[in-house]
Amino acid sequence: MFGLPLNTQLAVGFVLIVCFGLLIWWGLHFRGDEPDV
Amino acid sequence: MSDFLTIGIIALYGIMLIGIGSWASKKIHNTEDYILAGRSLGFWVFTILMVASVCSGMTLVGVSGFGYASGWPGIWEQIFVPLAASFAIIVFGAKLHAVSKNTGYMTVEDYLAHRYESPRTVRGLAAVAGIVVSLIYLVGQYTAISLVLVWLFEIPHTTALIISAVIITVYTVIGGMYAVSWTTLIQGVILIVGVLIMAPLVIISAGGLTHINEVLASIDPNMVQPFYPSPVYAGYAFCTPEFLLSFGILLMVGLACAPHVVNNILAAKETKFFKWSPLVAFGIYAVVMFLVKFTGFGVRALVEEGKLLLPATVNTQDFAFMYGIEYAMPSMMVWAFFAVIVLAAVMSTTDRLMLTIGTLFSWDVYRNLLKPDAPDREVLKVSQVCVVIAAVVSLYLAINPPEMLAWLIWMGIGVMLATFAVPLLAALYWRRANGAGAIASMVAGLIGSGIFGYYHQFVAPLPVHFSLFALIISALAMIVFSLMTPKNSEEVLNETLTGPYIQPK
Repeated sequence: MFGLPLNTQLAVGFVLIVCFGLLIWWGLHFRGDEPDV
Repeated sequence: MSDFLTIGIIALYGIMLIGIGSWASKKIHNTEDYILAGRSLGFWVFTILMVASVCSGMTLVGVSGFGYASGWPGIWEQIFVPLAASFAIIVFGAKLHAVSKNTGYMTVEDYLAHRYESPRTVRGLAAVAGIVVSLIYLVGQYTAISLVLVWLFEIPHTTALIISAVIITVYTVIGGMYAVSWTTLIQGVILIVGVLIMAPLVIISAGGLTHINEVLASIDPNMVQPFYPSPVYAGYAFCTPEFLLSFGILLMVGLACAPHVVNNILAAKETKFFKWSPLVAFGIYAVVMFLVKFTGFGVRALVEEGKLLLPATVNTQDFAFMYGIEYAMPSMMVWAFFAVIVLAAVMSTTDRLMLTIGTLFSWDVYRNLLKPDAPDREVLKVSQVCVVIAAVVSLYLAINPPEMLAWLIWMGIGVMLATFAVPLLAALYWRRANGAGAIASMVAGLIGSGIFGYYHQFVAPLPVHFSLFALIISALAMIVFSLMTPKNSEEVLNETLTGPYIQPK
């Protein structure tokens, strides 16, 4: 794809998926409440 | 490049920024309004402010230039830098913001002083180091602005610097954080829309991404690989796996803990923004940066095929973006638009840096160290005067650059990483970390980055970025000195939600 070797496609694609995945996971799990300390 | 339309649009843009500053000045009634926009920033203003503060003045020029010279092995920069905004929000911001709701911190130095129970030494050291690093970084931003203005209008370097400094200083001084954040929102939108329109045109005019990659591979097959092999065999082939690891830490953590980035956290209106702002910031920034990088690839392909000629200077690569746009869009109408986009990118970090310097001096040094009984109006005035002084000093340094300037600017992010990352991370997540450890780690980080940075630049190149060594020394200093001295009081540790978690259960 795009004239790139497979390892470059896999490396960039994998890292992007991991980054987006982690940030979506964070969004779903962070409550965002403000504790009364 | 100068023409009536371009000058007219740039002038209108300058007037609009000052107009926002004037509107913002009416909302400022006390120091909190000036420094933190009354902690009122909404989701989009806050998120774009985080992106634009990380996105430095040299983003358009530097990113495409790096792509032009190094090809795909440099693509990781486009993931690490956007991650810096997300890292700052998640790792530093979520807890800091929640704690500040109860404690009313004005700056991150307030937090460090409270958490480490060191109202003078830790605060003073963090504030002075923050001012010095921000000032160095600021000089770099002004240099970038003048490059753009000189190229656009063919006016003398000094005139270009003074015009831009006056516009930015006026709206920052009168409007404080309100002006900085709202002008940044507008500048950010202009930058995003501009890149989304212009970068694809350059990529298409260079024959599309597949053709561009084929040309890159014909120059050096490693230019389309994910990294260059070790050891480094050419000047452009420095992105080896070990260098990329240190580069990733430098960009993601170093930029995240920079005073002009992390202090934005305290201006957000609600902690719940931190749920989705990391994803939105990363998504927007990554798309823009990938496109700018591809523009650099495209220009390299155009140059290799003899369709485009860049100036034969030492920094040839820095002209990649500008010449690429010029090649793809010769229309004057587009030029005027492009001029505003580049200025938007370079101004949005500059104003935030100036306000940060004003804040660190007026609040942390003047109000908390020199004159604790100073009335609020006086602190506000000192802050405004400091913004002007920061502009004048950095302007002077940009016009008369000292011999070491290029080295100092290059050192900037590395020093931020080595000085602030460990004290901030340890404060938030390690209950045993204390004031002695924080002072030791900041001093060790500063000295370490000076020594290793000097060694890399003037003695022998290091295999990884110099800041990684300084960061390790800083972490060791934190651990050793903290364990040798008594821990902080449980009361403070509980108040500051210190522990190995981001949010309490």
